[in-house]
Amino acid sequence: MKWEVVIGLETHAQLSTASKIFSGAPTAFGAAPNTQASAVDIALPGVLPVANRGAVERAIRFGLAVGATINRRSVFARKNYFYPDLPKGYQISQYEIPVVAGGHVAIVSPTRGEVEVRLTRAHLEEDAGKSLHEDFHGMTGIDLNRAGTPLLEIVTEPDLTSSDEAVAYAKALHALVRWIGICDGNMQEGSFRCDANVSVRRPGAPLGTRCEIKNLNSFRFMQDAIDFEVRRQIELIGDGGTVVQETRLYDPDRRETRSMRSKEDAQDYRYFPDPDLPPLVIGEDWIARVKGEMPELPEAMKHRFVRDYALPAADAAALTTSRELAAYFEAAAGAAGGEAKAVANWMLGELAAALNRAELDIAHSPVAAGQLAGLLKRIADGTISGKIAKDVFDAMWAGEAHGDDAADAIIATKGLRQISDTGAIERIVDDAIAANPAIVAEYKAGKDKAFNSLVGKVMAASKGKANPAQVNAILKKKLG
Amino acid sequence: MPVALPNVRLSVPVYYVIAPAEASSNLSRFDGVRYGHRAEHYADLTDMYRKSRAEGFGAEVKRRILVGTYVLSHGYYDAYYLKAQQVRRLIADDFARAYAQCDVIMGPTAPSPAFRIGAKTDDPVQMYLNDIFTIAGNLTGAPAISIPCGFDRDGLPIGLQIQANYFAEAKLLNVAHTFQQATDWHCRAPEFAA
Repeated sequence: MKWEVVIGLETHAQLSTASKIFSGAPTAFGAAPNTQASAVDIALPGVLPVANRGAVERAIRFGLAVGATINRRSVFARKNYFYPDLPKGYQISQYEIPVVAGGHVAIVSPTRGEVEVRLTRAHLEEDAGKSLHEDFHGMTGIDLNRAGTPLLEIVTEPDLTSSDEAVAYAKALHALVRWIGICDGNMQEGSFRCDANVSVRRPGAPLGTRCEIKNLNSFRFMQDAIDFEVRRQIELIGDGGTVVQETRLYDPDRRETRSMRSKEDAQDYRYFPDPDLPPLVIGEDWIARVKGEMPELPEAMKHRFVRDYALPAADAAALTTSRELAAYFEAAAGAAGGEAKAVANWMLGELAAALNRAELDIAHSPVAAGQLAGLLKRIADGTISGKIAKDVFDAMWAGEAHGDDAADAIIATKGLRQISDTGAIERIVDDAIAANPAIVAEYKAGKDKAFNSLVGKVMAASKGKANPAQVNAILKKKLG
Repeated sequence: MPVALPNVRLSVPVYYVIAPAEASSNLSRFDGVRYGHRAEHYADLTDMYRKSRAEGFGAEVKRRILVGTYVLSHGYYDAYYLKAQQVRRLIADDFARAYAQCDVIMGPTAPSPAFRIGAKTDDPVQMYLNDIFTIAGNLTGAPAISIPCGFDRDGLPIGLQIQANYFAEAKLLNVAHTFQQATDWHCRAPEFAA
């Protein structure tokens, strides 16, 4: 019996403004409790909010990046509920008219290929404070530093059909908001967190009852939580039960979702337009200016990489996951001149592995783009082999030489220049044939593997410096 | 010169939907966590909210919070809050049309002379209706002033309300000042009951 999985995601992206969405208090993470909360953030009676232009501009940026409609007039609304870390007793959000409507994000689905995930909307809102339950015996501490932090809540249509697709979307969105510079994407600090609406149905049947899993702050948790939830719903229905609409929490320790509150206890938030804030009116000139300042977007850049550098689509996609990575690639490919595929291979292979081991990101790579290009040029012109190049790379990584000609300096100092002199290689080959009569005999008896073994002997004797193509040719000739 | 303000008669019902709605939300912060009274004994968070707010607010405030919460509730919003906002626009339009014909609109501040403190506390609707002439200004946001203009036969003061268009505060004050230069009602005080 087949089941279809239907998923929609709501993502809260913290906007990277210096100050809060309705006050001048700073948004920096990690300050001592309640030191970054102004009179507005603590809801002192009589204070009034003033919208942060920078937050609105980031919303416009996002809307343009996903091909959405920027509503020229949107409305801030109050979402009323009581909670100790919500000092006003309501959250200022947007309800009936959000700032961004529609749009789409492209993902590559493992089962469906390229898919456009449709967005319903994106709206501006303020974050709440934090309740601290540790350190206060029998009491709860309230930290209002986070209260009033600007958020963009980005809502998809129920277009995702698996946890893989949900994660692919979340990753694409994560890369996009960082690419356009509206969110730092720091998931540990809560700058990017998702809620997943999950339901299952028989193919062709109407949508099933959904459950909302709250606060997924890592891609792995998202995958696990959705997989668990899908299994739970299918088993429940299989056992003759019915899914009840509810909010569930994911417990990463037990790798399961647990009921938090059902639809029956769902609160009536009594949304209404905030009388303290005028409608948010965005002029054409503002949109035009933001449009003019937009960087090339990852999708467009990906296609350009395929077109202009003749890269495979997978490489182009991998190199456009962040602006820093793409910039490094373009700088290295430009300097290496015509070696774009080699740059891609090295960036996604050797360099990525080294960065990973050192827990560094590309912006802090010890090997600069110009240095990698310098190295790849020496492979291309036959100065060194690809194998020796790895040693040179390690030396550059260790900082043994600096500047764009670091590879040349290391090759010279260490004497790593490839031996391409035919006479010199012939001498080494002769020695190898003389020293290994047993292997030669095996080869002559028809064991092809013995040939590779002889190549290895020659390469070892040359300390890896002999030109492998020449070694092959000369050895073949000499063995007749 | 008389002007027509056909929708102003709806000011009181409109006001007593919108003002309580806003008040119910504005007063949420007085929940005993940081602002307002906190009950001494409570079982849990919800109980703390309930007791603190039940003990801390007076009857009129509670009445407005209840009405305001009701008109914003799911299923009632369109019929009350949204409708009230639409009528509010009609009232503002009445005034805009009137000010095309005149500079200021004058009339009594209240439909009756002042009543005694506490006289209508048990009948909130009667109390609200006393605001009928002044409340339109709250809804439109246009300026108005009330000045003394005489006493009734029991010696209770009567107010004259002067209203003007948006940003016409200077005109409003000039008209009031001119009236007070020609009269001395503002210099007289009612006699206090023994």
